[in-house]
Amino acid sequence: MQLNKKLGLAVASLLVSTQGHADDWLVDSGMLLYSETDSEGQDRVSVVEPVVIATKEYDTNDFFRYTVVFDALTGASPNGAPALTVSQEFPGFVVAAGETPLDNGFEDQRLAMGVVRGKPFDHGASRYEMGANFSVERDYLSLGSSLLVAKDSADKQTTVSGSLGLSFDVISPRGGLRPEFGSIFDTVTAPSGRFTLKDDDDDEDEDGYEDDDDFLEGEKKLTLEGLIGISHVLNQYTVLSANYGLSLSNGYLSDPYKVVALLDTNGRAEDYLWEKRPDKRVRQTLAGKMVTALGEHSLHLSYRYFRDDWGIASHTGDMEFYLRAGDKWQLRPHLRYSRQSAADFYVPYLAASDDLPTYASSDYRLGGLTTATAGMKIIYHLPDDRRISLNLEQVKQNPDSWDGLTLNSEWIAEGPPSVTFYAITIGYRTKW
Amino acid sequence: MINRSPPVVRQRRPGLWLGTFEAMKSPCEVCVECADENQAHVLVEQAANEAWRIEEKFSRFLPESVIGRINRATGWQPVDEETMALLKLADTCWQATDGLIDITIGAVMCLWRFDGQSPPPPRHVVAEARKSVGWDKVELRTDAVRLKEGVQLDFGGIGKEYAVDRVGMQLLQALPKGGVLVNFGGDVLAARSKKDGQPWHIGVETLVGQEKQSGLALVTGAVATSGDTKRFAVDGKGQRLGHVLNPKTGWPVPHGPATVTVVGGTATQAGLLATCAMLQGKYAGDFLAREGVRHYIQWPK
Repeated sequence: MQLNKKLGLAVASLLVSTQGHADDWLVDSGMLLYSETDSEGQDRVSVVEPVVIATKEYDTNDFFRYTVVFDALTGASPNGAPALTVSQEFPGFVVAAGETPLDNGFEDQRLAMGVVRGKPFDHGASRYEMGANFSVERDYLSLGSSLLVAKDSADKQTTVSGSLGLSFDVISPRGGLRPEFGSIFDTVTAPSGRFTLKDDDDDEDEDGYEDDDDFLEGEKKLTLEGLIGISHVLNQYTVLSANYGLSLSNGYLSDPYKVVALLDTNGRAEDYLWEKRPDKRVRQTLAGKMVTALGEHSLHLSYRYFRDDWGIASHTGDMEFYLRAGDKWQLRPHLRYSRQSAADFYVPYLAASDDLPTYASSDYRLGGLTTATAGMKIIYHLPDDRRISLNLEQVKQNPDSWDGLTLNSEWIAEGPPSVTFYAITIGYRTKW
Repeated sequence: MINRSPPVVRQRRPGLWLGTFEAMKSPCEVCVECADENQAHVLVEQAANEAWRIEEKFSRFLPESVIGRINRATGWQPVDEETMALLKLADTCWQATDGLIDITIGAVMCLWRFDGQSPPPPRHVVAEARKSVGWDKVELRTDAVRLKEGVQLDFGGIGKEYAVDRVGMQLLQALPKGGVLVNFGGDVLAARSKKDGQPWHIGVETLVGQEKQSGLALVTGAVATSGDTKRFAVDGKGQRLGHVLNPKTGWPVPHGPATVTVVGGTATQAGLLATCAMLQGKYAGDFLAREGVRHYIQWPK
């Protein structure tokens, strides 16, 4: 019985595979809805993001993949200044005591497109993937390219891979380029709360934005990334993989919309300065992953260590179960925990009485941060290899409090608020 | 190229056409149910072309065939998708049968003459040739194959049944309605039942002097036979040695059946199982009973 069954399966796959497959397009489309609320109850960023990924596969590892993403972001994000025990006055608006100042009226659209060509060579023992992508926003342009080469061992149990990526970004902040450590009072404020440099108001449009005539005129950033990886089939149940990545960035690495508060000896904001980060960053990651089959289910565990020369180090653990429920349903519960230490130049504020440091940023994403994610993906298989999926994710970001970070913490009402966001992705996969 | 006689198409009864042609050294038949004679001709021609294509591509006797090229080559040889699919099947079979089905048997196979009178080759010659037998001497990548020196591939054990299944599938696609039967030298696929729902009747070849079997009735499904009533060698004691060789010894299995006929879903599957049964020797019946398949065994007199 056993043998007959095995032969039957093998012959069926022979007859199917030699029938010649239609050159189908595999189309993955998705819609991401994202919204963010902070612990002070202020609504933050919300994003609507349709994604289409179309893959034309000619053979194993021989494909073209096109990706188109469109983002619409609206909302507010902290401008970096801390919540103080006193009210704060920004050019054009006032923030009450105890509230975290937000950069309001944040609105942008992003369009990103990418193409990847994958092809096997060396009789299928190796393959390469070459990619190019660009993304454009009102204030940001990014161009990138990548090359990956992977090689299987003779017994196909081990695969080694190496990849290189190069990206070039141009940042042209709305309202003009901010001089790092320049005062934000050298700007005018649009009704939306946006700042515009005072001496640069000759070609503003109605909503206070500068026309984006000279798009490539802006701050530039170049990033080179390399990754080497190995994956190994341990036995019929378990696959292990590990990789090491190194990334070098050079150029304008500050966030043009973030400020650092300059406090006087009474804990009042004397000025707000545009933040300044180093113009170089070296990032390293070391990651390991294990996938284990448990009957028809599987468990995916991974760990990632990150550090950079700005003093940030992080540990991230990730666990995902792939559960099959009958032929039609798949459930993938998912947990992730990440702990990050602060950058050396991360400060809640600067003291006006002190000399300016070389670099400073109050962006909470560069501070000590704990992120916990819980999610669930539900996949329902339809006939003809089509499927629909729903992915729900809750992410909680808890920035470390500023206790101990500063000499005069009593001036600060509270540390950066924690943020909770929800992401819902609805996906549909079909063949054309 | 092989000189081919064009297929012959005859009407068996109104709406049932029988096409006959030669391929793979066997008489080949296809039966199709359709009203139109022209369509019957087109279908039979298509079937013959497909059978000939497979023969020319996979015969180890044709130097220009894919298998001829692979067998001559040293180092990696790129192969097309269809060949790779067959090699993968060979790989699965070798693993599933613990090495009993091994398409590298070619080097030993060519030492034997199964003409009903020739003696077996000398033992030391078989033993020497056996060194070039073994699927573990074949390396596969996704689109290439490499053989160790001296190793010869032989799709003889799979090729004909594969051709039956392929031709059956093609006819099903070309003919949306109506019965389809393919019979290549006793390997049969009833791809679709007759319009009246009556089963196809398939004759089973019998040993000379044995009681004639009535044959098989099959609505849909496949029948394949391993062994041959006419193809055997004779050892010193006058004992028949059947033409299915055990790859592990290079010799036929003693005391085995003369023929094994297995009923299955596809000709390829039935054929593989029949070959496995032959290699079980006198336990062929037990083996097939355990696998739970319909089967017929003829034992030599």
